[in-house]
Amino acid sequence: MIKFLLYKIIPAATLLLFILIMNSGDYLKGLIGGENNVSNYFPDLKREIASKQWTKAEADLVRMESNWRQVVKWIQFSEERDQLNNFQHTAARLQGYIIAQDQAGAYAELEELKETWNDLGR
Amino acid sequence: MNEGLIVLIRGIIAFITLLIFTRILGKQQVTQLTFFDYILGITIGSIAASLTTDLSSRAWPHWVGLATWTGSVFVLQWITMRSRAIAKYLNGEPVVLIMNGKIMENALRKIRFTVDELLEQLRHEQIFDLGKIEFAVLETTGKISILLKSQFAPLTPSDIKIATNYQGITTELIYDGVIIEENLKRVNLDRDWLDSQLKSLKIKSPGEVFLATLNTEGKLYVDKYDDHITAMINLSDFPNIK
Repeated sequence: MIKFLLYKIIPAATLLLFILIMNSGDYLKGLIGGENNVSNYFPDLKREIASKQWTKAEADLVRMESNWRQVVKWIQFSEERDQLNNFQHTAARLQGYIIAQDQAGAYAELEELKETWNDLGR
Repeated sequence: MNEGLIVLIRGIIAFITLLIFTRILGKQQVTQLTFFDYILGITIGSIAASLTTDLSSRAWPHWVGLATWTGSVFVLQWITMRSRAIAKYLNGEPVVLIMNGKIMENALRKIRFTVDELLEQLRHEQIFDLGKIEFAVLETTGKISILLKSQFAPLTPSDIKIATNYQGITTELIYDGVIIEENLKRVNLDRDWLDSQLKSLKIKSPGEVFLATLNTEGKLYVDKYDDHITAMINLSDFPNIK
């Protein structure tokens, strides 16, 4: 029994744990933050950019980035470094467009941000 | 994002995965590996290295690659265990290089093996005179097996009809100062016997012993921590290095 546990169960459980860690990104990104999850900010930001509520959009973006930093801590072990960096860089560019009150640029960056987010863990 | 931490976690995943996968593949020694096995080993190791440090892609695809290669090797091992024909087809066959004392030039040419390489391999096997060889076979592992002519073969006890005792595997009784009770039981001996043996060697406790083994003739080999050697032979080329 001990031999079975040592040579079969423990290695199989370890491999299973590794598989879960390596594929946890898609699940964890939607879990962290609850109602304040990063994806919940996208419709708000889109509405605010459409109605040119720039101050509100900037505040929401800051809150989203703060939430994103929490998400990164958990998904960094399963995701591509370039994709994580890409999200941060796109968010920074979006902030620039919001500050400059450039509606077209802000839309483009927000859509890229959504796409990058959706691709995480896939 | 903490890259150092990511590499640490991915390194642990790769290390333990590789450990488990290599245990699954078995205990083939490096000297027993065929050329293909050798390449497989390098490839699997390379994938594990990428899994650890290549942060530009997710860990999962690397892990799948690692599992795929290991799985392929496992399947190949399974097939070759069950079919001698497939095993020979995949691993190749031994080639006779010297037969009845004569070098097989065509065989050498076929496997692109030079006479110099043959002589070098023979020298590795302590053969400096080709005239002593009856057969030389190149194994699939790349090593040469040699059968000497009967007049040059080493004399064995059976040649001169001398009776010999059975020789089996020695059993470890003490390792690193600790008695291995399970092994003592296995050879039908007990603690009192061991204590009396140690006492006869002027050893007060098993803690003084680094290694004690018992051979099948019942002889006890004991190596103490204190070897009473004051001047070690120094093999270093550099002065003052002990």
